[in-house]
Amino acid sequence: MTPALTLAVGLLTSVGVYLVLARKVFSVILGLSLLAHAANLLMLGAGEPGERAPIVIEGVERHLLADPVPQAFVLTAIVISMAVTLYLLAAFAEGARVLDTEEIVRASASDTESNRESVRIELSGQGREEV
Amino acid sequence: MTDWSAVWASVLVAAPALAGIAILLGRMVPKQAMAWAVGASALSLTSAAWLLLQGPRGVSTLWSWAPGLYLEVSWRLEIATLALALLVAGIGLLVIQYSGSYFGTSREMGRTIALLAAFESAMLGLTLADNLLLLYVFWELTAACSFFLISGGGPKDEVGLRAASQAFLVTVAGGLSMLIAMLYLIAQTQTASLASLLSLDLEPTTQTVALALLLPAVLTKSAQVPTHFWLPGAMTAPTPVSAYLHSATMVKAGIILLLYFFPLLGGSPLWAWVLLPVGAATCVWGSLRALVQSDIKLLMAWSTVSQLGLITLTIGLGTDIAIRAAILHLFAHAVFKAGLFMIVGGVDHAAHTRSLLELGGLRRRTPLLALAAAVLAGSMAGIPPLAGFLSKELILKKAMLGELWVHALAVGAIVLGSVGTVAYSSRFFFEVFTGRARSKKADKAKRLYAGLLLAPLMLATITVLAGPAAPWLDRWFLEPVAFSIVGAPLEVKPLSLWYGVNAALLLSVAIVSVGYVIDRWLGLRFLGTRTTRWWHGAELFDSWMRQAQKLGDHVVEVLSGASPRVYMAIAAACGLLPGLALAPALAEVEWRSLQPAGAIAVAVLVTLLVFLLAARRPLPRVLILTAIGFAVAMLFRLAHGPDLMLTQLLVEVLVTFFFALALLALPASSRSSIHARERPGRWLRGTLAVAAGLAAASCMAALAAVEKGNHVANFIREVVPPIAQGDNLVNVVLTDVRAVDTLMETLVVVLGALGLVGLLKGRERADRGRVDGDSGIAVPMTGGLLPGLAKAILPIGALFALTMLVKGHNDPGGGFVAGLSLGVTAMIGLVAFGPIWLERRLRTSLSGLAILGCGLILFTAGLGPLTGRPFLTQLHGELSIAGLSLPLHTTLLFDIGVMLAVAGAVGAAGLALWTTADREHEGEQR
Repeated sequence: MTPALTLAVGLLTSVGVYLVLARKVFSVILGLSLLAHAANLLMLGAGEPGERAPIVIEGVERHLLADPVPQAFVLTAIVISMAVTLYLLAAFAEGARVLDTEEIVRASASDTESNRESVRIELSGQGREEV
Repeated sequence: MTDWSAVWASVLVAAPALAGIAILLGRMVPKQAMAWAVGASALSLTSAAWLLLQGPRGVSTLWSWAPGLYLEVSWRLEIATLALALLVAGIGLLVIQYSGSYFGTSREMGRTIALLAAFESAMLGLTLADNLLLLYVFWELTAACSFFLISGGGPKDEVGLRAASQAFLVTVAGGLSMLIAMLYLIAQTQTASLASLLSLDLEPTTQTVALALLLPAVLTKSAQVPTHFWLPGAMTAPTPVSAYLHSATMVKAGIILLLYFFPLLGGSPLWAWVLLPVGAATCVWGSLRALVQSDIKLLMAWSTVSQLGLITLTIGLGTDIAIRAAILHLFAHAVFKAGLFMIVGGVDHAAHTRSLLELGGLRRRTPLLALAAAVLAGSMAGIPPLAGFLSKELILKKAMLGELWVHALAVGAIVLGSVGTVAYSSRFFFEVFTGRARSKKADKAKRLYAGLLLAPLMLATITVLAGPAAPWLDRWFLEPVAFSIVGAPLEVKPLSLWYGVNAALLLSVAIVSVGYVIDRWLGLRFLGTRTTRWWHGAELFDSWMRQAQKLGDHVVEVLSGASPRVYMAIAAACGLLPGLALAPALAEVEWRSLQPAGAIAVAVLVTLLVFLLAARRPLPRVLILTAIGFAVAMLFRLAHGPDLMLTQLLVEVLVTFFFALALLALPASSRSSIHARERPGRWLRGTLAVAAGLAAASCMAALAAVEKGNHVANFIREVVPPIAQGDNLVNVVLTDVRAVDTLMETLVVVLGALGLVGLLKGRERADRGRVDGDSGIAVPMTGGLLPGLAKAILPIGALFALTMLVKGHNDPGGGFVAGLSLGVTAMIGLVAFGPIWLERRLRTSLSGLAILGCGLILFTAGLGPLTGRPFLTQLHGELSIAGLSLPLHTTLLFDIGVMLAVAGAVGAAGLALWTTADREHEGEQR
């Protein structure tokens, strides 16, 4: 399994990093999902390779079973990365609405100040009338 | 077996701090606060005395928290440690009593008393701790408490804050070095017990390295040149605080540490090479600076610096008998300096000034205070037969032994310093208490309360009695203490007031005469007429701090100020270097063993990734991402992880759905411009990306090549199944072997979902006025086939989830898979029938369901402790009904909890996003 996993991890990381460095938040979220895949595969590959799924069956040599520990880690990691993606998506949708852009904002001093101001207005629910 | 002396020692250490907490929490009135603090200090004092009478008990451990990590609460109950504790508690008691009268009924008194008590606890812990890490904790606690004590005026008191910050930063910086020293010693010797360390013989190099790391801590804490400047600055604190911090405690902490480590590190050449010159410089410089102060409190501060230098110098001599002299002077100084600070406070109270230019003639108004001052200042100057004479004489005698340079340096410094000490002591006493009053303030000085006189008089009495009692003092106190510090019996003449006429005595006489003459006849009075500033150390330090802040701002600006992309790139680049170092592992991979199935999966992956990069519109990109997830699921299957495959597939379905919802929730203006086409920086990004991919692949190859003597895997494969009574090892790991992980991770998922709901709900609340109640679409977004199909799909989905849940312990499945299946089912229902249907069907809020799931997990976890087993022990039993036996496991309960939590989290998040998307559309239609 190692060659396939090595290739997959390399490719996923590569494209993931490329997207994470993008200016569009949407691309960044996609990239983070890819990086999560890569990390999961990496963790899985770090375990002892086996020849069968880690389920005890009468008459099967135990040492043939794949290492269950990384699998358990990866399983929860998948669910958690889903939760993270969900949160990012919500923040993305909300942020795009508040800041009226879906690009990562370049934080020059004056920009940050005005953005902060607009977020503050949004959060406090004031200034709605003008919108 | 409880070790009662350990409990007793813990009470001794903790009592004042507990009283302090009670004072703060109870918002006590001053009288009540006093009663508590004095009571607690008295308890500590009597405990220390009682333990001292029991004789040395060695190490007693209260609590072995994590012995493998060297984390233990253990006390070293030796004569020396207990004697020091006695000193700390005794002076503490007097100072607290004194503060009661000093502060009267002012409001900040409760706070100051509480802090003093807390400080006392930290200091007691420092003297008694055996565990090195515990010692360090107490060390830093003294710094923390002193910060609040010195900055008494709160954030508005700028001067106090500056002084407190300096004291804190300087001593904590030293403390960090001490932490490294402790860790180094632990790493070298595999023990964290000071007592066992002292019985070892260290290699000379180890000794020197440890000492070099320890010295910054010692020298900063004991205010040695050139880091002494924080001590005079700290005089902004109220006088009782100074009386405690700068006599027996804070500044003595460094000396105490030196004494404790003397048997271990005293053999290093560094000992004398550093301590002698630094001590000598501090002794002389402090003394000279004290001469020119006109504020008597600053005079005392500089005198403290000088005396600390004297003790450090004596310890630097490095012989057993010099240590004995240093111990004696430590005690003598603690007693007279605490008393003198209290007298300064008394003078301040009586005449409302501390300036030598204004004081004078106070003897007539406060005769008792003058008496105490005469005795204590005399002791400081080393006049026989007072305690200070005993110790200074002893130090002089010891300094005359040894090599020539040592001899010359030590004696020279001591003589210079002591002449100065005599001069400023004489100046202090005569100008404050005798002669005419130099101002109206001094002339109209009030009488003092007894409360302000009691402590100085007691200390003066001790000072007087020490001289004649020298032989007994030696036999019952100094000798045992020195023995317990040095660890060997000392071959010395017994302590006495009179050794006959010898060089030391003649020197003493000369010092006192010269000092007195300098003050009285050469007119020191005129030296200090201009207000003197502290040495520029304080200002230098401040300017360094400003520079450091600027540098920090600059670094932050470069790293993250410009754009998140920049630091993402920096982070990626940092990850690259170690990863690329592993690149040779790539050559070791047996590429020929690539199986057809694996090759196909990788080929699919490559194709999809290319599509992803080429695609511009968001929805296709999401669908490609889903397909990539499926390819990864295929890889999971090929790596023999059926549970992973199931989980991944379900997650991909959900994530796709959520992406779609998020795109719908975007404002219309953004939706058209989201297409990705970014030219700038493509090459840099591409290069970084390729390198990152190479690095990750290298990591994978290197990890796979590691020889695995995998105990954990074998343990789980061989030993665990019969105990956990489950065949699906992944599920066994999740619900039983590493259930704590699962618990935490489920909580993370639920928190993530609740965070999302909160984020979007906040907006909903803001929007409520606009949308006006009719939330969501009663009519499904998709008409036609879906509702009909959904009616068939929903029961099947629920049934599937149930099967996954029940079978999960022995076959692929489990709580996560079941929860995700339920989530997918709920989302299908949501699409088909709308949000109102979902809420009505469930008759409960989805967030509530998630929390219920977490509760169930915690309940299962608690079953263990309820039945006397460790937390999260899973129980297994059988239920027999009518001859049928059903196996019952609490793991099932645990998995139900996981299922509910995940399903609830997914459902709640879906609903919230759906509602947002919905509203966005309504807004458009209007």
